[in-house]
Amino acid sequence: MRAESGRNGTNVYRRADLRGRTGVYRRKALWIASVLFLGGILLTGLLAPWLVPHNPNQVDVLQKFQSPSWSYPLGTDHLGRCIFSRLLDAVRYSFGGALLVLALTLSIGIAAGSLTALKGGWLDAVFMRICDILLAFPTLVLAFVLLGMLGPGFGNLLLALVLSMWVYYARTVRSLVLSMREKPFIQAAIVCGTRSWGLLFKHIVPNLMQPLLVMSTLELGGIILEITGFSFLGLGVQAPQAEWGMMISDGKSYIRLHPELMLYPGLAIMVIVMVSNRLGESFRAYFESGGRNL
Amino acid sequence: MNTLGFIVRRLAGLPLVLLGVSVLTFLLLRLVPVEPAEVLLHLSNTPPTEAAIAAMRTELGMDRPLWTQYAIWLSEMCRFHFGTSFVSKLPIAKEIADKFPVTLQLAAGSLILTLGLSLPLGMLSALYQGKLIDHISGGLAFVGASIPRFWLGFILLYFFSMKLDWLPVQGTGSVLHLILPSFTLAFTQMAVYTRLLRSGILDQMREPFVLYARARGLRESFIMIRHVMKLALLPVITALAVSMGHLLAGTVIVEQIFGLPGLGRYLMESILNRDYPVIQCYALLMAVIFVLSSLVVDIVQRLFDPRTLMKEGG
Repeated sequence: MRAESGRNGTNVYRRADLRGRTGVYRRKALWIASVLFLGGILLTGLLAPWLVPHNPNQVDVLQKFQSPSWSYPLGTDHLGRCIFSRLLDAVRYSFGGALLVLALTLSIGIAAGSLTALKGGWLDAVFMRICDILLAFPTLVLAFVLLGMLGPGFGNLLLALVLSMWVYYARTVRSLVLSMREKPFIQAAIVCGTRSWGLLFKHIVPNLMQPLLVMSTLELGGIILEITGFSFLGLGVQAPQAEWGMMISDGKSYIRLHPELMLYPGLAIMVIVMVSNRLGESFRAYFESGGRNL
Repeated sequence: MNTLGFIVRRLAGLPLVLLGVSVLTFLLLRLVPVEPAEVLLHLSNTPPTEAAIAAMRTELGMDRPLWTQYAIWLSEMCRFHFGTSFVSKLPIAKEIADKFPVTLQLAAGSLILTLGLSLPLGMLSALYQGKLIDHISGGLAFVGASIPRFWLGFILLYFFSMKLDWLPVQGTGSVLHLILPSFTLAFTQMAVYTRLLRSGILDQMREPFVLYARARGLRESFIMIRHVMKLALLPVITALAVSMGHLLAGTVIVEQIFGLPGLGRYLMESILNRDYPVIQCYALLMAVIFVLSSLVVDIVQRLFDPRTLMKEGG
């Protein structure tokens, strides 16, 4: 049941929703712009320590709630810290953390899923039972509980997310590999005497890339929302380090007089999640149409 | 295989999954990087000397072999003896019983809002495909999938409670108190259901049985309700099972924003206070609810769709 579906129950290969009026060129421009945008954000995050106009954690109570100015592009928060610098400094955690979680779950998922599908037997049976048990917990509830046991902190948050998510990737990979194993090119490779490692890395993994790229791009936004959500609750990144979810949490006491404290980090999260969701949809449309519609 | 056989087989698989869930929940406590006995001593302001820790371990039964501990724990859980909280020293079963209704109201309210808004919206955007209403619902779905839920909660709070002063800011008591939290929880789900129903209807409209129904001269509204909707609702029902999980976890954040004294807030307090028995009970409870609701959805789906019977040659 729902073997090839993502965590949200959406089918990875849902029928593409391609409207005729959107031309091929416009779609292509959108796709390239999304990749450039996300790449730019990543670069900004990595270079943040050299890009920030102020020390993001520098408290200066005399400068609190400053309006935007040349020196403070987005003004200052309740402790007089530069909001713009804090937004930039947070990219590493909010966005970089999500990429790290994705990379880890993907690697574990590919390893576990293809191993069990190729070996079969008792290993596969045990694996499926473990999946059943892990899938009995809603993903986020499991993450909450794991985090509760491990204790709050950014490292523990990433660990809890990976531990609660890997099973979805592993199951998807397993079912993809199982259906691939019956295809003639794999059968031919086996007949030709390809060793299992060669089979795995030469034939199977490259063919997993397309569906996994779609799935993981569509999930990236969700992971960003989860990391920021947990940090908002105080279970992720710890003060004074800036993080978008935590900046929203910091601003909530000043919502009446200074709602802009919550506005900027929220917008940052939403725009990035929108772009990555859009990119995921483009990838899906591309692969479904056999590479004609990028 | 008939429907009854299917239900029996699904029920037969249930004990194994629940047993696995209980083992995993029990082992969760082993993840704790410090000694739970030490945490408990720390919470009751007793200096954690070697002797005190050893005495506390005996009191908690943690000096026994692991499988004995598990057997005792499981038999307690089966009799709804959830143990006592490390912090308040009250029985956890009672605290959960006190807080559960709040969370249940919130979840039910958000489910009603989700279905009540997304079903008409999904239908309209399928019927008027490419028209204004379709674009609006598409836009809403796009925003709904990308907006952080905790941020949305504050935006709603700012406009409806502070600027317009229509709804109360925090607390419980009336239906008015539930509107904003339920909507915050519902909005992201609405996005999913609207699009799901829309594409479901559009898919079904292309099927030959719709053409045949039209050829028979049936009214369009009759075809829509009796033939198309019945099948287009199936993916929505499937998604309900998945979104139960989102709903359960979503209540934690929403209760925190709107100050609702429900299970989610209880979990948050317990996490911050290192109240491990409470976290364990929460995990077990949520897993049981989730497993049972998936079961119900599976059975309902089975009853709804005669084609699953045909595929299996029944």
